[in-house]
Amino acid sequence: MAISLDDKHKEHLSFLENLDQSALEDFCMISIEFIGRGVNKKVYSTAAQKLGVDPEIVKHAVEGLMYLFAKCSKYNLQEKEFLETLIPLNLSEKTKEHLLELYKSKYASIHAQLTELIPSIPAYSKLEWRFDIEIASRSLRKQVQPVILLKFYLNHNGVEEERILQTDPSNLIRLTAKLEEALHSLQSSHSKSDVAI
Amino acid sequence: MAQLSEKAAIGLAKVSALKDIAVKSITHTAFQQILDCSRILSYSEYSEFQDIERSDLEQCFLGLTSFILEVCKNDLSEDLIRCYLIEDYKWTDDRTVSFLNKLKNYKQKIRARLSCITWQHPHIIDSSWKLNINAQSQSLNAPQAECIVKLQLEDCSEKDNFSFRCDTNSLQDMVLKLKECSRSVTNYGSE
Repeated sequence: MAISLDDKHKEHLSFLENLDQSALEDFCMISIEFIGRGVNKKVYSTAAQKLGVDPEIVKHAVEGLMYLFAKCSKYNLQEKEFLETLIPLNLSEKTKEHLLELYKSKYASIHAQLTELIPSIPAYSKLEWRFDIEIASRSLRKQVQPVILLKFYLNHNGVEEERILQTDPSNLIRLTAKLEEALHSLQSSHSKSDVAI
Repeated sequence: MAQLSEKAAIGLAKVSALKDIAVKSITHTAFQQILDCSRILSYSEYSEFQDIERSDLEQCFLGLTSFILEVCKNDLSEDLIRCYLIEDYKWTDDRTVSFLNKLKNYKQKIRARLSCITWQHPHIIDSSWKLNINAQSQSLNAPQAECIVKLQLEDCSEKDNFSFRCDTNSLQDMVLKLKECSRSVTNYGSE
C-alpha cells in the first residue's frame, strides 16, 4: 500500500527535480544522516549558498526527504509501493529511480534507527542467586541474618547490564509466588491469543 | 567484649558515685537517646542532675551509652555484664539488677538498630507485574505478549525501582531459579 503525501510535502519535494544527479545524491545522504543524528542547520546554509537558493528551500527539501524515507521505512514499503508513493510528485524517471535505489540500500539502517526510538525497558537475560547468612558485622556481632543475593543480567538495546539486589526469605517466597502467578497468566494469554490469531 | 575508651570507662565508674535517683534517670535517658538519636539531650531539664558537675555528667552519660552499645553489639550474657559492672566499675548489686532489667526491655530494639548500620545491596521488599501485548512496532509483525516485572526496593523512590521485561521463556527461567533458591532457603531453615 502506497502512502499519501500532503500538498505541502509534495511542494517541498518538487525542488528535487531542479537538482543534478550529484546534488540529489548529497541531499539524500544528508537527509538519511539527519534521521539518525538530528538536524544540523549549518548544512542548509552551506548547501543553499552553493546552489544559490534560499536556505529555507533546502531545509524543506531535506526534511521532506527525511520524512519520506522515514515514513516509507516505518510502513515497510516494498519497491512497487515506494514508486507508487512517488507518482504524485511528478518527478522524472531518473530521479525516482535514484530515490528508489537509495531507499533500498538504506532501508535497513533507517529501520534500525527507528527501532531505537521505541521507548524500551531492559529485557531479562538470566539470573544468578546466592544464599548467605550474615553472622557478624562491625556494628553487630552474634547475629543470624539470612540474605539472598540476586544478580540480574539484562539486555538494554543490545547493551548487557548487570544488577545485584538482595532480599530476605519471606520476600523471596512472596516474589517467587507472584512471578509464578505472572507466568501462568502469560502462558494462558499466549494460548488465548493463539486462538484469536 | 571490646574495651571501652578510657574516657568512657572512667565515666561508667563515676556512675557508681551518683545518687540512686540520678542513676535511674541517666540510665533511662541513655537508652532513650540510643534509640532516638534525633532527640536533643538537655541536662538542665532534669532536676536530679542539678547538683552534678556538667563535665562529670557528660562523662557518665558517655560511659553508660558506650557500655550499652558494646553490650548489645556483642550480645553479652547477664552474668558477664554483672561481673563487669560490679567488679570493674564498682556498681552496687541493686543498680546492676535495675540496669539488667532495663536492658532486657531495650536490647532487641537496640540490636535491630545496630543491624541497620551496615552496607547492603538494594533490598527487594515487594514486586508487581503486568502483561502487555506489544501490538505494533517497527520490528514486530505479530502481536507478542510480554511481562513487565517491577521490583520495589527499600528506601527507593518510584523512579528508582527496578523494572524489566520478560517473554514466556525468560519468565519461566527466572521463576525456576527463584523456586530453586526458595527451596534451598527453606531446606536450610528446616535442617
